[in-house]
Amino acid sequence: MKRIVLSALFLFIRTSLSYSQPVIFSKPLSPRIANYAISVSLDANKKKLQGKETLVWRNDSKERIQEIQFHLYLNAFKNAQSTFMRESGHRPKNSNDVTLGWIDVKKMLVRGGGDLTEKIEFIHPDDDNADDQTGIHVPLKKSIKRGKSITFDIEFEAQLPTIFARTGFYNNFFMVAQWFPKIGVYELPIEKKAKGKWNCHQFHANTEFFADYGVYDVDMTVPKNYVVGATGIVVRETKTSDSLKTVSYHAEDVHDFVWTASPDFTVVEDQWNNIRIRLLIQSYRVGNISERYMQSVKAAMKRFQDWVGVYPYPNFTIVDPTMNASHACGMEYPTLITGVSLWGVPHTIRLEEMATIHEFGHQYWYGMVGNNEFEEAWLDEGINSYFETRIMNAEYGEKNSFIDLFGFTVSDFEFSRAGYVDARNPKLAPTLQPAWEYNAGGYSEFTYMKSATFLTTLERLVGKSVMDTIMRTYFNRWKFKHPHSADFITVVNEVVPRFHGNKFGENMNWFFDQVLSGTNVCDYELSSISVSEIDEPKMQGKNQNREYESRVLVSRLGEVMMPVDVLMRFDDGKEIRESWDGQARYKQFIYKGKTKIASAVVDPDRVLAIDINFNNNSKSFEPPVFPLWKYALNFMVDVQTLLQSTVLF
Amino acid sequence: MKLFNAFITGIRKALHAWPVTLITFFVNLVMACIVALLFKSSLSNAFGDSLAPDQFINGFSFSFAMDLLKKNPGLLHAVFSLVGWMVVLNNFLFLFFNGGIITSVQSKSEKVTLRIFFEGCGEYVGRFFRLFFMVALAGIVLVFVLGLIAGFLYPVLQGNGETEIQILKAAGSVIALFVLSFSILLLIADYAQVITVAGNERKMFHAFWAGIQIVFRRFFLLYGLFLLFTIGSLLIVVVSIFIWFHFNADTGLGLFGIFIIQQILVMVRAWWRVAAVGGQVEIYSSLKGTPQSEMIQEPPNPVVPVPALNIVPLVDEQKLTEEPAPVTKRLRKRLPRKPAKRVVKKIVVKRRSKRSTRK
Repeated sequence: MKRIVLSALFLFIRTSLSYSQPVIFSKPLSPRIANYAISVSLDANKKKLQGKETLVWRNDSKERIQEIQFHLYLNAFKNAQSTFMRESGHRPKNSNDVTLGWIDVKKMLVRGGGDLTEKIEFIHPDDDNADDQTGIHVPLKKSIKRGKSITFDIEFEAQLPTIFARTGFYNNFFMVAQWFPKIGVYELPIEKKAKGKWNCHQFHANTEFFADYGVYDVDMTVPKNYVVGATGIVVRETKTSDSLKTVSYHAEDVHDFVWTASPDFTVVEDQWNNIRIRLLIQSYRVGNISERYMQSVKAAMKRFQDWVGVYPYPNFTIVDPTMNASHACGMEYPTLITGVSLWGVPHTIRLEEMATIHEFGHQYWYGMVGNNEFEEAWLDEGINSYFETRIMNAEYGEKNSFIDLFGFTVSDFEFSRAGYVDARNPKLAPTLQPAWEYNAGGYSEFTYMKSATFLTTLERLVGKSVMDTIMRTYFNRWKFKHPHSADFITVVNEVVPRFHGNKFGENMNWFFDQVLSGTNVCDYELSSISVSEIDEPKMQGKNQNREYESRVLVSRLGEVMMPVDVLMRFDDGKEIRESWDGQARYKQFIYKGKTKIASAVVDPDRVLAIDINFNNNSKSFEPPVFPLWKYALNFMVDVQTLLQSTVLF
Repeated sequence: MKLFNAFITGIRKALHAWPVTLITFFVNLVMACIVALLFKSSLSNAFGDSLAPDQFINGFSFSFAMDLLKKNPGLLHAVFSLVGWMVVLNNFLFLFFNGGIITSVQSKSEKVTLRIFFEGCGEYVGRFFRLFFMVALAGIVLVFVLGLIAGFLYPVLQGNGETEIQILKAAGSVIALFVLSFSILLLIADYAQVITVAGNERKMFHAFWAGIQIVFRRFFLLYGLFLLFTIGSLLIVVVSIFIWFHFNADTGLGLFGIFIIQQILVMVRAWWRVAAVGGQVEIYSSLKGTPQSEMIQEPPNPVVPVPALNIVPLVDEQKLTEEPAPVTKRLRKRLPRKPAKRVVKKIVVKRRSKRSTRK
């Protein structure tokens, strides 16, 4: 009897230990408002999910909450009438070859609050599209008091779509993102006496996501030969039946949970500074491509740690989607990203590295600093693009970090800048606007590229060390919170005067008002240089010293006003550098002396990366012809070779 | 061995026919010069008095280039349009030149002159135009046929199309099929031209058909020679590209030096093309075992008359009383060689009867 009791006790303790969740952070990093425990089963043949979700949500506001709002993102792929499909043109070209997706809440119970299933209503706060079912509102029978929590038990079923926008499947490759009923964010009011409100937008073509931080415990039942990767750390893997297994993951202080499964993954593991890196890659890409993934992610980890702050999670996963699932490529999720790779691409075209560094950077901007990607996408995409260009240039070269092929060189920053200044219409839209309002296009150009360009301009204006201080301060102040653009500008306004005093005025609002909220462009031009001889009474004898008047005219062609330097060079080699506040339409510099002006350059150090035309920034009486001849002669040889090679007869 | 001999002979013939190389190189230089001057002029206008070109001294500047193109959207259009027309013009020029090239490389004169070259050009240009249309028509048919084959072949080779490797293999195979087929067609065209000149062929369909026959009968030999010369040509291009990328010219003297080296390589490539034609002529000659055509050149010795025949041409009654013209000269003018024997018999008979009458 004693033996039986002891055995049972031992078994109980062992089981309890086995099934107790690990603790990653002894002290929570985030408020942990929305905490999920989900068990989901994947039907690999029907591409369906059956899930049970327990959500514990805490009311962190000062009000009583009468309703809850959820995202049902997968319903964006339900039919052609959803807001996503209407806006994007992402609808599959041939619907017959494509499986559409949806999610259906079968049951929603509130513990101690009854069955709310019948009370679910679809909401359309952005465009009143009654056919869109990506948001729901659930009125509560009992309101939630401030500081109190509510527990939901939700049963749902989801049909995964063929991957054409980040999530879904292709054959037996599954990228399962935005797959469960996800609670919206109850935004606390900025003003003290104002009320908070739900922030739960519809899923648009250009929008990404926004959610509260919490803890996730997810059990995924998949075919036993599938390799699984997910947000967080793996807790256990158990055999459920002859053909199935259940993989359990645990993640803390994250605001999303994604997972992937495929029998075709090869697992490559590595480590950087106690961070376990796990690469799930297609087997034929192991080798050169896996090395490139690892090298670039480690470079990103190092640079971010040096420039911004520590990556706190113990692990990081990179998923390499199959070729035909390329629409799942290049996306970020907490502690997991999808990369971009193609077999055979030479190492001098660094698309893979660029994507890996960019997606890792999102662990900071969006992952830890949780801005609202619907309303202020530039706060993660723009800041992250700025860091991506910095890291790429630091790792691979200032002139050729992105492409270096047969003398054609492009740096990542140049590529980014060109995306904005050479856009069809650089004045099309402001950067600071909700992502779904880019109806005429321009989401990438203004959110990613213009933001990276004006942040680079800010860096060059205030200095790299000051910029690093700005970013570190912003990161440390707003990590695991939900900042707004004004919060970033506040940090800039605190840091810059500390180092520069009043050099840029009382604050930097003038900068952000123009480049972030405005649509105008920056274009300074060195309009003209001229020399005239000053008529002086002729000197007697041999000493006849002529005097000249040199004039330099600098114009502001664009509407954006920035302080700028002008560099004058004279024919005796002397240089004069002047500073101009850049406010007026033009500024003339006049010099009298025995030497004549030879050339002049406005913005000689190219501080104003946002200037849309570098070619009009200088003038010379003797413009350089050697480079023109160099390229003309080489072009001539190319034409000669072409003519010889294309004689067909 | 034949391949090697043809290769060496082709090179020797090209050396012998060096004026041809000079002419083709010169034409190539002039055409490229026109384009380059237009390009340089366009760049000068676009940059104006700006110091921006200095950004390109030590390498390409993407930012400045993109800004320039944005402000000058038509900058490259005119240049590339002209390049396209030059490619077309160049092809027509070589339709004209090919006759002269083939004639020059097979010429046995001590010196290949421009006269020999241009006479050859003029003599065969009409025929080569007709041949060109025939080849073009064959090319169009080939495109359709290959397209059908590729339509079946690509899905088979692609497999399930799950990986880039499968796609690349399938695409590469289809491209290789097109390249191989069209290179054979162009080889047939080359040999048709050689046959036209060597055999003085006037019917281009016969020449084309003979080209097909010879290429397929001795495929490996002829295609092997073609590959040898093509690889050599590609190597010259690779060397030229290597020089441009590894020796950055940042002074006028350096730029001039690199330019001269590149022009020498262009000339070598022009000469290499003539050598390829020479090799083709040599191989054709060795396969046919026939002497080459001497239509253009002067014969080395006059024709020796046949002494024993004393042939008198048919004359009318009146002319019998006149002093007969020297037989051999008249004969050469009026009578072809081959039927001579038959004519001789007739005349002998008639002469005998006239002798008896006189007596």
